[in-house]
Amino acid sequence: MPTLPETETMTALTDITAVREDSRTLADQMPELGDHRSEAATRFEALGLPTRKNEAWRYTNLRPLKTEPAKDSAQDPGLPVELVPGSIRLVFVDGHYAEDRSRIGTLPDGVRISRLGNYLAANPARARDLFMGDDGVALLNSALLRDGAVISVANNTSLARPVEIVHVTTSARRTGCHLRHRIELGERAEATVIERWVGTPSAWANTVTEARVPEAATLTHLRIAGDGAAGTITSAARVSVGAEATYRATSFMIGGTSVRIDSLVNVLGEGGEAHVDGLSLAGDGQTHDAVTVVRHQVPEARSEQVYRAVGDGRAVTSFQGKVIVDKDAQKIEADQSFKAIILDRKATANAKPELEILADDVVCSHGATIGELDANALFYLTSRGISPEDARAILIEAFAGAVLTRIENDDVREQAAAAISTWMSGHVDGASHA
Amino acid sequence: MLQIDNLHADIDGKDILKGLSLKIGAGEVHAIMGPNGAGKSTLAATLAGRDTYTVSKGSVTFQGKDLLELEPHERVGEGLFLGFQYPVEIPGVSNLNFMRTALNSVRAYRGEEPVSAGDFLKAIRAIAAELKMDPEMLKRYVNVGFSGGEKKRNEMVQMRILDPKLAILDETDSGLDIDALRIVADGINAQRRADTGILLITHYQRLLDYVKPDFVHVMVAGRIVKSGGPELAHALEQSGYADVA
Ligand SMILES: Nc1ncnc2c1ncn2[C@@H]1O[C@H](COP(=O)(O)OP(=O)(O)OP(=O)(O)O)[C@@H](O)[C@H]1O
Ligand SMILES: [Mg+2]
Repeated sequence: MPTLPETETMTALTDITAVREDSRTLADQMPELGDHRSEAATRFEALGLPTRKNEAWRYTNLRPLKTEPAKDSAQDPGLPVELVPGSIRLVFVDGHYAEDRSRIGTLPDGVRISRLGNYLAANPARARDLFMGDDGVALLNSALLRDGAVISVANNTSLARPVEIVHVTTSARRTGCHLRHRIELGERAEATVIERWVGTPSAWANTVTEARVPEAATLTHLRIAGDGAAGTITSAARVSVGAEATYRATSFMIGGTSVRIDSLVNVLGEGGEAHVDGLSLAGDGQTHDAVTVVRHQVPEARSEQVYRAVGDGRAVTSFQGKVIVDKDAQKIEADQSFKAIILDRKATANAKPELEILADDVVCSHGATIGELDANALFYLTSRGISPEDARAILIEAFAGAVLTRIENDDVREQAAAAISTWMSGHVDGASHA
Repeated sequence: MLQIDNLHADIDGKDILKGLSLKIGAGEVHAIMGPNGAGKSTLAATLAGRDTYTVSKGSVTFQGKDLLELEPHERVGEGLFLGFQYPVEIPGVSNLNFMRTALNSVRAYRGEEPVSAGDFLKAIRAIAAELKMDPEMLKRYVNVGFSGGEKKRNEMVQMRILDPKLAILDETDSGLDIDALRIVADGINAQRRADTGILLITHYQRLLDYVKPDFVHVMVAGRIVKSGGPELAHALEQSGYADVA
């Protein structure tokens, strides 16, 4: 397997030669991608990385990629503890599949897991689908794509073990580490996919995950930038939801310097359901950005979005959530709720809920609130002997609970609760509240 | 047990307590009555340590300690309890967890071991039964969706599990139906012991029929203007505050 030359401290991503060089080096990896790579590189050259003037990217902080040279030398952050015991585990280190760290085991009939490279070799016609060109980040993903996982589950097949995809980034190359995953469920199929990131502070991991959830299928999709996450993480999911199908997504942004989790969900079949939830716990100096677009193209479908964010120190945590209901998509129920709590006056929360409703017979609700912890509730708790630190922790836990209670897998929910407790123990001292 | 001397407190520069003095001894039940806006809840909240009120003058000694020096949760550890006139709803926090955390926090303050989940459940169920509260309500979020009377009963459950030395009960009788009033009064009487003090803030004689006070005080415009025995409450019931104000 050809590996990239480990050029350590390169300058910031303003220099297109680095991109060109990487895209050439990668040419013999997944040769089926052929000219798509160079086409994407050329278009990236013209566009560059998105700036804050680009509406969809206005809250995302890509500045470190643009201006700062990579500071740290390559180091391996190690693997996180698996979220659900016995999961299938696919580990990608700097974009390369690490067979020795992965574990697939015996798969049930009808389930196939392969590397994107092998998948493309078998289905060269699919290469064109992998080209994306909406913005600089997507273009770079197309230009510098290294590998990815393809998970396919046949009709009527349920994959009980969750698939955990772990992205490990040890290299601080400014051109980033780009992966593309595909999840293809058959009708009435079921699967759980958990994506996680660990990395070094100067790393950039850029992942695109495409999922097809056809008739009566159920996909549970978790994305976790947790404890060991560092550096810049951009993850985009593009999901289609068919008739009577369910897509349940929860994203956690707890670690990372700058994390952006995108979800573009198209509900294409009647009775389709999309739950797109997320939690951000942003500490000092962190930028978390959740961007969702849920589009209803057919009638009689439902979507819910529940996002909660907590900001401490000089954190910036943002939510941009759009619901689009097409003209003929009547009898849609679409709810969106975003709430943010600021623990420190220096922290910022941004909310930009948008409804684009062209049908007339729909029930849509959205609410966005940004505030501080409820002083009456804090006093009530302390007036029962609970310390102010514990009282804050209890209230934050309850606040985050709105997202947690919607997670159906007990292991995942408990681990998420534990991660929240750990985070809070470092952020509830109240020292910065005065 | 509690000694308040010349207490002055204000909120945003507005004087509310204007030189209030009161002494409560162990084994005593005191009742404070007084017109709306007199500052009764302000007194209760100031004693509990609510920081929206600023004490500008005076002193409060509780069991030999300077109460005003202590944080709200420390006051509870020392044995103070405030039953709220308007209990607060806390979505997402179960009543049971809340009370267990509270009890174990107080025990930790006193250097005692935490109670086990099993022992706690047994104790809280017994108290809920004593106060005829549906045990299902323990599983619900703190006060969320509780009726006015249910919230007050929930305050009493908290008082009983924390077993304070001094309970200040701010209009715990308001909003209770006749049966509930009797049940809550029984709860208060159970808390009434030779080593505990109780301060009832109330507008009605009714509660005092069940919980016989040793002393009744009339509070008007931030001061105690008259003190007496239980007969004072009867006199007020007859003629209102006009004569004492
Ligand atoms: N946050 C506040 N800001 C301004 N004024 C306040 C505030 N809280 C209380 N007050 C005022 O302080 C005064 C005393 O209020 P308090 O609630 O202590 O009265 P109370 O005797 O308990 O009345 P009630 O019998 O109606 O319960 C009132 O005039 C009230 O408006
Ligand atoms: Mg009052």
